[in-house]
Amino acid sequence: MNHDASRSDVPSLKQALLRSARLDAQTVPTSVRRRLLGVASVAGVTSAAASAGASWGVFGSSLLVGGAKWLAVGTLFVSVGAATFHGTRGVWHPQPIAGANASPPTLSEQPTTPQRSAIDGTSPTEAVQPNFGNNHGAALTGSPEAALASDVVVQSRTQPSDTASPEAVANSTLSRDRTDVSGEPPVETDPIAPSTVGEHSGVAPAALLTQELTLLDHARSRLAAGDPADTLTDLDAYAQQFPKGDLQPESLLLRVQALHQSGQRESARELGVLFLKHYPTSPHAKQVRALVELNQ
Amino acid sequence: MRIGALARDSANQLDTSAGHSDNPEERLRAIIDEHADFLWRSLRRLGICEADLADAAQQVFLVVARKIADIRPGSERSFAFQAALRVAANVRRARRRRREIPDDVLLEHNDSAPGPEMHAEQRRRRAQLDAILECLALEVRAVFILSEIEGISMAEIALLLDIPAGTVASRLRRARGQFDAQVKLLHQRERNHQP
Repeated sequence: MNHDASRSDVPSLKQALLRSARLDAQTVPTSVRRRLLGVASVAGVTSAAASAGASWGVFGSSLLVGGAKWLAVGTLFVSVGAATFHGTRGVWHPQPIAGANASPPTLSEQPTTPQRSAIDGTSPTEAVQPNFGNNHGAALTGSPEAALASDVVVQSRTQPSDTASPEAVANSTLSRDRTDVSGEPPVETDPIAPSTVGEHSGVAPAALLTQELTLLDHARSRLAAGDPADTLTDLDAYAQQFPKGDLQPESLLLRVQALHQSGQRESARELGVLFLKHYPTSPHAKQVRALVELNQ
Repeated sequence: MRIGALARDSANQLDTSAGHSDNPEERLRAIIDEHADFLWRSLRRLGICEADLADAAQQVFLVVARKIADIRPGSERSFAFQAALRVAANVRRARRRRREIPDDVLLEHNDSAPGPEMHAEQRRRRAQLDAILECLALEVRAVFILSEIEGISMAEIALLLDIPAGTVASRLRRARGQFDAQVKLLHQRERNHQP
């Protein structure tokens, strides 16, 4: 029963409804914020390595229009779990976004067509298609509708099998990506080079490596114990503390395994594909490839 | 807030530290600092239910992270919001495909995990608002929430969505009309003691 005398008229009801939304949680929960920051660390390394000084030369302007080559998707998908390294449990579960089971477009050379839907007679994706390059000045330097259409992978139309196989892409080595630019030096010379500057400067490399090993050993043991959530938490901590760590490939492998184990198959696959792209000669490549194929 | 909002806010856009750094990681961190809260609220208001909100936020951020090198400095929020729209569109599509409910019917409300600070009445209204907003086309819903709930000027919405101001205005008109109609219906039902 409605006790609100003040809601007796339509305008008041309208205000009550709008007010209820303004009282939504206004800020990102700490655990999510921390998770995003972890992603930023990982993303910073791989994105820098891949884009090599943010030059368009690497992928060509084709990245922005149809026929784009995509960076592998969703590789940095951290997921579930505790907010801190020390294992405090978060409250949210590895619940995939509705429709996350659609296979994502990765490394497809074809642009995806935005999903059409009959909702309200217009396609939401079409309707909200960003008109980049419009009068207001593009958010991107080109026309990335196609880019965005496929990027957000949750509900993307099932892609035809990648025209660029993971192996073929993996064979385009990181060094090629880095040198194929308009003369700018790569931002990241080697994703697995030990960090010599920043927060760890002054600490002996051997000691750092020991720290990295300890973190990853712990992560591995959590995985072996059947706790992928804790594993991912550990790996987030690793990514934050050692954004350019020596053991990046190992951590990525563990992440792929943990995602797989926790049921996040798409993320596992995507991350695996990126792993294979950046570390094609890694001793772990075989394991990663197996997981990728398992999740095709 | 609206007067001069354009000048101020577009200046803010360009002045974000996210745009200043060349380092992708720094830009991404700055984006989190400056825009994560806004994106979080927006995702919720675009129809992502509480349980899916964290995943959705990550999805959005992943897109941003992946494309960071290509995002023009100053356009981070705009890019991220449009990515959020995509995520919301995908979720909406999936939800409707699963339920196969015609969308002109008030849908059952999202599962809102109620925060401790929300009273029952507020929760009820929030659920009703969700149901009403669910009836709007997403692009219409977007301008509505940005304008009527977030309080952003039309000019700035135009920048955010990278659409002409006229389009913003017409969508907002549609949104308000549809919203008003739904509220009237709700009001009638409540007066007739229907839930």
